[in-house]
Amino acid sequence: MNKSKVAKGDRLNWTPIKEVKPVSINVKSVKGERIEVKKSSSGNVRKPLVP
Amino acid sequence: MIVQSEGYELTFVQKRPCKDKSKHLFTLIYKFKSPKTGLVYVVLADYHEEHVFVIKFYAKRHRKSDFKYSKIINRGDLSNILVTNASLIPQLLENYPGCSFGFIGSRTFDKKSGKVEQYQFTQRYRIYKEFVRQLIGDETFVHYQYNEFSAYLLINRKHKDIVKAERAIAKMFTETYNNLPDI
Repeated sequence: MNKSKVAKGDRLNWTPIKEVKPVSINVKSVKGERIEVKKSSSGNVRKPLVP
Repeated sequence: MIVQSEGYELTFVQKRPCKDKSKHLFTLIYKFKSPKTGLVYVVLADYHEEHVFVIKFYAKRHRKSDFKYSKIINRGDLSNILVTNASLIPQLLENYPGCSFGFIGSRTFDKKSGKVEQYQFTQRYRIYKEFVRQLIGDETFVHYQYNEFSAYLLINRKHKDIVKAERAIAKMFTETYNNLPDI
C-alpha cells in the first residue's frame, strides 16, 4: 500500500498562510546574543573569507 | 560539517537608489549562476544608515513572487550558493571599509500544504549561521545572533563601542522594518 508523504508544513505544524498575522517588533524586544566564533583545534578547517 | 565549497563568481548588475526616505539608502545588485541547479540567482546588498549592509538573495525566476525569499527550489548546491553570497562581504569591505553586515533566515513557504514556517529560529537561519561562523572570522567582526527573529549581525570591530553600535543598528532596523518577520 502506498502512503502519501505528509507535507512538511503539515508535519511540522506550520501556520496556514491565511492565518499568518503581522509581527511588529521594537528595539526593546530585540535582544542579541554575542557569540564567540570558536577556532577549530584540528587542521581540517577552511580559511575564512574574512579573518 | 566543514564548508568546502568555493562558490561562484558574482557579477555586479547595478546600484539602485532607495527613494522611500527611509534609512535604507541604496541597493547593490549582483547575480550569479549555479551550473548545478541551472538557475541564476540575484543577490541584493541593501545599504542602510549606521553603515550596514543586509544581504539577501533569491532565484531570478522567482523575482516577481511575493514569496521569493521563502520558496524552496530543491535542486541542491546550497553550499556553493551560500559561499557565493558570503563572498560578497570581503568585496564590499574593500569599497565600504568599516561596514557591518546582517541577514535574516526567511520563513519557508510550503506550497504543498499552503503553510508558513514560524519566524523564530527558521531552518534557513539555522543553516546560515553555521555557514557564516566558518566563513567569517571574529577578527574583523563581532558576531551577534537573534534567534527570536532569525537574524544575524556582523558588527565591524572598527566601532569603538561594539555594544552601542549593536543597539544603534538594531534600533535602525526595527524603525525601518517594523514588520520584519512577516512573510
